[in-house]
Amino acid sequence: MKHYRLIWAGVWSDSTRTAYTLVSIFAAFVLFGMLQGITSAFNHAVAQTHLDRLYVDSRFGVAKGLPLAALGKIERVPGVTRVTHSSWFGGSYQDARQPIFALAVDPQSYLDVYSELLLPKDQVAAWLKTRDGVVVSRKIAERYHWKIGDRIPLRSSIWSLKSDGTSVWSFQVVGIFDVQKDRRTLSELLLSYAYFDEARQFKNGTVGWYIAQIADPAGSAQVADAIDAAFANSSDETLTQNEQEKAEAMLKQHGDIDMAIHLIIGAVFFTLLLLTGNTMMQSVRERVPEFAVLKTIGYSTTMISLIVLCEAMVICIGAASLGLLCAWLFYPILQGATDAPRMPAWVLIGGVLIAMLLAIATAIPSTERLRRVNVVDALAGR
Amino acid sequence: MSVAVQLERVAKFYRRGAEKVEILQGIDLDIGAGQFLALMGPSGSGKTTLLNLIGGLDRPSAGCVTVAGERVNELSDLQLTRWRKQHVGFIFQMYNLMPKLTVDANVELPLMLTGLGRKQRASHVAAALAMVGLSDRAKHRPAELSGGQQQRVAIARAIIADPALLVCDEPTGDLDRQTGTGILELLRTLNRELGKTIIMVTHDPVAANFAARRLYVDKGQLLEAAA
Repeated sequence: MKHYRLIWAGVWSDSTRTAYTLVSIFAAFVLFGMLQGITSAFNHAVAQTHLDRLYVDSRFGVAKGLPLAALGKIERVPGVTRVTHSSWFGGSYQDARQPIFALAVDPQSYLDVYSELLLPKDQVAAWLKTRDGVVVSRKIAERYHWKIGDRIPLRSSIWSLKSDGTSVWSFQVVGIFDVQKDRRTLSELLLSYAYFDEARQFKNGTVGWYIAQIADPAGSAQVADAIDAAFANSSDETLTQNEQEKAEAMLKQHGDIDMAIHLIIGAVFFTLLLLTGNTMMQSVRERVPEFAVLKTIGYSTTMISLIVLCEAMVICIGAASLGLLCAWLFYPILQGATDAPRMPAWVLIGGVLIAMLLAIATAIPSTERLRRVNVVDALAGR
Repeated sequence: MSVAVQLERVAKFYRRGAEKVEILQGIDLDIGAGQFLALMGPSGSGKTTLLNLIGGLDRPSAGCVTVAGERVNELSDLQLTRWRKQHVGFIFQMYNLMPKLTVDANVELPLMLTGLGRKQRASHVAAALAMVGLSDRAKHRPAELSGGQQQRVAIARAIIADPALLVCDEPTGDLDRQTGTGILELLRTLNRELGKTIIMVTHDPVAANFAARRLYVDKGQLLEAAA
């Protein structure tokens, strides 16, 4: 690249304008990196779902719940191998701004179905025999410095205690679970359903939803239909979905995040295209006499166009790379908030490719202008 | 003396609506290799147009321009660009240097289109700058130089690829008398010692006196000046 000095001089022909352009591109690509990271986190969450797990909810919503008696009926549906259930506890620790994703579950069947949760045998045994025992994720235990044996108070936003009418529940930490490598869970705290159901003031004998494990994921639609058919025309009609559909439906509750992110990024890049394109056009327009001199001394239009393209590449790829690097460095902050995996490499590679396309798209109108430069007129200042 | 530039019945005109504006009419001219020629004439007489035709920057409306044995008017745009690179050095009134490039980078520009390596280019640039007396200004920007120095840089750029023909459009037009004389002496040196054919457009009779041959262009016609 022996023309680097010419290219570099072109990039900084108007240093203020170049600096503003660089900052705009940088900011756009920081946003791109971060938002694509969020999208990938959601996609990753959906991709990690088990297709062999069906979620059986009340057709009228999770808040209505399903009777505990429905368990046997689901177990008897052909294709179902195991069934467990969950109920939303809605807890927070110390402060309502410290929510904890807590579920009341049947310990043994739940651990059987959620085999990705790793809990030492002695802690499983302790959980089974301790009625007010809870197991917590390692992440939450480290965050609040909980140890096995600690007694922790949790406030439920839904459930009050039968004994004293308050909503502050006291639990004993009996286990700390890990998650299989490359697997994730939203669960942060699991309490025993038996204790929960006995102690709560209302809706006793119901569960939030059932989770049915099936033998053949390929037949999940048929089994789901069979479960729903078993409860049809009853007071407890069900809506059964596989885990992936359930995860997608949960994400959709917050709006079409994927679409929203793509629209934001699209709008940002469209604006950036206009901004950078206009900057390049202006830069080329101002330097027409310089390009005329280059043509005079033997630079072809193609060569000059390539030099302008390289200038656009330096600006776009340089600023975009810095933006993506910044997004990559600051992504762990977002990662902590969303439990997202590491920023995938494709986000970085894709970002650089987009920057290249941006450079090409912004350089093309400028090179067209160069093609029309009449050397004699340009040298005469016309 | 062999002929370096030959113009045969060269005409140049523009159309302004239905009107035909004639700039040059039926020009016949032979310029010998190694000649130093001054083109004089009033503003708008067509001398810069004539210079542009000889330098391959413009095409005649009629007639034939032959430079160094090549019929320049028959070349395509790309061929003409390549031809200029090899055969012609240009010196302008306003120097036309790249403002953001240092002096040595400006001078090096024509060599960037050759197959020379970095060291060879650097050695050529050093020699050219030494010839115009600006070795100590190699790392300066044009804005840090005087007008005369900038014109010397432009001359160094024009001669670095060793073209046989130098076309100069008012090279001293923006300089004071003393500085201008220095530039003209430099051009005369290039003509006498390196054998460059120089065609110079000028308004200034003193500058024209540095040339061995003087021609007047008036109303698109060429007149040979008395010696």
